[in-house]
Amino acid sequence: MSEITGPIVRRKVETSYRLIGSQCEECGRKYFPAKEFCGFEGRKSRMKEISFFDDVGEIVSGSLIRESPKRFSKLSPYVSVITSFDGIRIPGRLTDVDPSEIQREFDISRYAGKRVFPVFRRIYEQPGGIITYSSLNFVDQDYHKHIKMEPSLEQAVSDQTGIVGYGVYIPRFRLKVAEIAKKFGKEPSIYEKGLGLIEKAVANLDEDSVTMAVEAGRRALIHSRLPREAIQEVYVGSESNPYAVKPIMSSVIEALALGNEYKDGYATGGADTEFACKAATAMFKPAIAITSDSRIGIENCMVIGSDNSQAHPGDDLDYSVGAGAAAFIFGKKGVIATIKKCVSYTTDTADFYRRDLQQFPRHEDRFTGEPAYFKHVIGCGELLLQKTGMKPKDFDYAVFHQPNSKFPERAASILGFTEEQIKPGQKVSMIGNTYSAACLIGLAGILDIAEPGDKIFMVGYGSGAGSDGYFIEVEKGILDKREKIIPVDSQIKSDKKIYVDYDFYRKSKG
Amino acid sequence: MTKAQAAIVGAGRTRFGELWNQSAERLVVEAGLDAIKSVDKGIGRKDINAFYIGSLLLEKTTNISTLDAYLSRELSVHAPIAILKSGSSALYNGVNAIKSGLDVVCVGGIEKMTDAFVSIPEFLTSTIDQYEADAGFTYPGLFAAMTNKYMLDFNAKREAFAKVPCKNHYHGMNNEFAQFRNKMLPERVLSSPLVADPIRTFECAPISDGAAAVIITKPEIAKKFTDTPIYIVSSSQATDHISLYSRHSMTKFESTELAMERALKESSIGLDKIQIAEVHDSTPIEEVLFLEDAGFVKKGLGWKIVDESIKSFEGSKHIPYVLEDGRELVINCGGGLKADGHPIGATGVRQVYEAFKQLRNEAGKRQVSLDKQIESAVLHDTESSGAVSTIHILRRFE
Repeated sequence: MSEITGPIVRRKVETSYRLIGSQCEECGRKYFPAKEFCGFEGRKSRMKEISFFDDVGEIVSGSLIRESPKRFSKLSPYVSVITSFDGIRIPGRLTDVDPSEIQREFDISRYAGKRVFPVFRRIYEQPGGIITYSSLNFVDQDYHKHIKMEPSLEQAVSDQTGIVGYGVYIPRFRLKVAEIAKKFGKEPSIYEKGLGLIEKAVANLDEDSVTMAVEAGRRALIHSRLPREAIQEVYVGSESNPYAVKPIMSSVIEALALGNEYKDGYATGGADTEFACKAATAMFKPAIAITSDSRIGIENCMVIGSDNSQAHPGDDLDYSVGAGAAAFIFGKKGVIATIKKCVSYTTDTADFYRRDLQQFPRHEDRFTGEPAYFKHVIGCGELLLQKTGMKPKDFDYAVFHQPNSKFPERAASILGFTEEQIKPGQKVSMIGNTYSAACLIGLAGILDIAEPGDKIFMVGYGSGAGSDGYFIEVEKGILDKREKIIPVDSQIKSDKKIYVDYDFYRKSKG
Repeated sequence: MTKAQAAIVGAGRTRFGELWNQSAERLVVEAGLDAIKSVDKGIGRKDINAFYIGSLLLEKTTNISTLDAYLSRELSVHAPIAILKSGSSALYNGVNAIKSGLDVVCVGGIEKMTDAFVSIPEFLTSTIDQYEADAGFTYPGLFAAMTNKYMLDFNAKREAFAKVPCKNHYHGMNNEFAQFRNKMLPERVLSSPLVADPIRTFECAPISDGAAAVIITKPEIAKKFTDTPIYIVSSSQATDHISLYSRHSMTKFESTELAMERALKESSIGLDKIQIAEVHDSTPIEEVLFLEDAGFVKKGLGWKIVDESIKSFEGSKHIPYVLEDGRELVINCGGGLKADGHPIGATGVRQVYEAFKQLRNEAGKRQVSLDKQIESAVLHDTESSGAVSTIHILRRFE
């Protein structure tokens, strides 16, 4: 197979990211992929572009492909299906399938009629070359919930910018921490009891920081009930972008069609950011600023934290590193929470780092604790309390960056917060450390259950090192959109999650 | 009135299989010379006005993208040489050339798949729709999806499909050119490794080297070359979408249906006159669907006819399909793609070779013996996972 080149990939992006087809304006017939003219109405017919990306289809037929082309060898064997979206057939790979399903022979009667929807995934790559992403992949609704995209133009407009939507994506696969301990001959209790790590989320073999960012962004967009053109700036914080140079945000914009279309692209801006685990929390401030200043002309800004980070096999990080993403949209329409105060705190502290071209990060063991995490989280927390003039008891909830359960518990206790205040935002024990997404997933977990008027204390942390602190107040609008949320706990506690072994997890780390 | 469009006066072929020591150029020359030699009253290379050669993969497998120019040297000819993607397309174009006024045309096909420096399954993804390929489908994967849909819609028994390759292996046992001459039983097929569920390894046509060639002429001059020419009474081709998902049906090949319809109309021959068929059986579903798409059996009954007709692998040399009206139809007399071998570009021409020999009663040990003389044969070849179907009807009489 010849090398897949940039021009080929670019041309396919439009059709395969958003499953773009066309519809005849005369007779209403739909086509996938898009056609220049209607096969029934003839060459004079007028065609309009349609997308199947937000729709639900059903499986018509398929096969379990065991002898796959080399480029699919990482994913092989897998199930490929042909689906029907209201009569329009679209091919795709069924993904997030229980590995036990491929241990037995494919039986079409188990699959036919199953309702599935498209997801953006990584399908193949050239070694050292372009990674091809596509939405010609489907998931059933056992674990993944499909929430209908229903933009509403009738949302209240606030004077001040706030959070208008959020979404969290946690992959379906999980690895028990005890399983890792067993692999390396360690006592599970060191990690389970000592660090409060029970299990962690594992990306499927077709997932990475890019695909998880897209999925979290999609969920945030659905929750915000904003039209896609209303998002005009996107920041993605990550320390595990599969590309050293090439942003994740452009994939998010293209896959979700964010912003106003212009020619072959979108009048939308943004950038990827990197600051270990605070690459995304750091971008709340710029997001608030640019959506507050009418001169900039940005209605809404999406901030995403997405990570599927690396850990050296057997290293302490190997027990904690998870996979997941969270996205928050800032703007003035349909505000669900406002940011009342922001503070930051930074020092040049090399507690955890990864040199260019190195596969695994390094960390300075106990140096990552007292002089790094605690110094910055507590320092920043104190500054936030000073700036707000409030006491810990004045807050309903507190959430911190969570590399494990013990660190945030201890920081909270030193600052004067109770276990009840931090519990709803503590998610790490069941999904692992999701780095740039960790603090945001905690915040989302609180927003999932918070009531209007609730006050939230949040402090993120990134090695290298710094913290951002935010005082967030929940607004009335939160109640209006709650049915559009896929709660964090529903993903953590789902009885449809799938446990994998250490080898699968290793493969998923690439 | 049946009217011949062209006449076949000679046919040649090589053995099919893993022919490690044979080069592509040599194979095609061997088949070509064999065809020339087979012309009863003789024909010269220089009498040939044009060459139409089927080859899909030579550029990928053997790094030859100029087969035409090689042939000019190897055969010492200067006539025009056109390369098509299949042997049947080569024949279709060759017949058109005869109809346009040429007297003598050589139609050939060649593939040298064991030369592949890219893996063949890898390359075959370029013959399917790019979105199906991105969905992970492979060439057998698409036929597997069709098989599954067919089994679902018509409540077909899985085991019926496994009988198809066994029947074709049985036919191939007497074929001295065939890649596989061993008996194959359904139990063995059903325990061979899965390729794309439910399709298993022993249900897929093999990777083969080989070449075949035939000489065709204007019908009016055919007797100059032989007393027993075989006439091509229809030559028809139809296309369908490359993508299975956008075709009207996932349980039939519309291209076959259309090409067959046209072919029957063109030749004014009824299906009842056809006694043998060479069919593209790269996977069993194609042979099952051929029975339905060509009109031999009703939609949804193909598997049943297969299941009920193929009962034992002992006794007579061939296992005919017994159609609803009791008539018999022998498919793939020399083993088809599965047993004879499937050098892709050569297959369509090998089908002509087989039917030519059968219709002339020259097939030796694998000669189909029916109550009466075989009069008509239908040839069915496809390209691009069924997107192109070519049908030729051959007759003993003009």
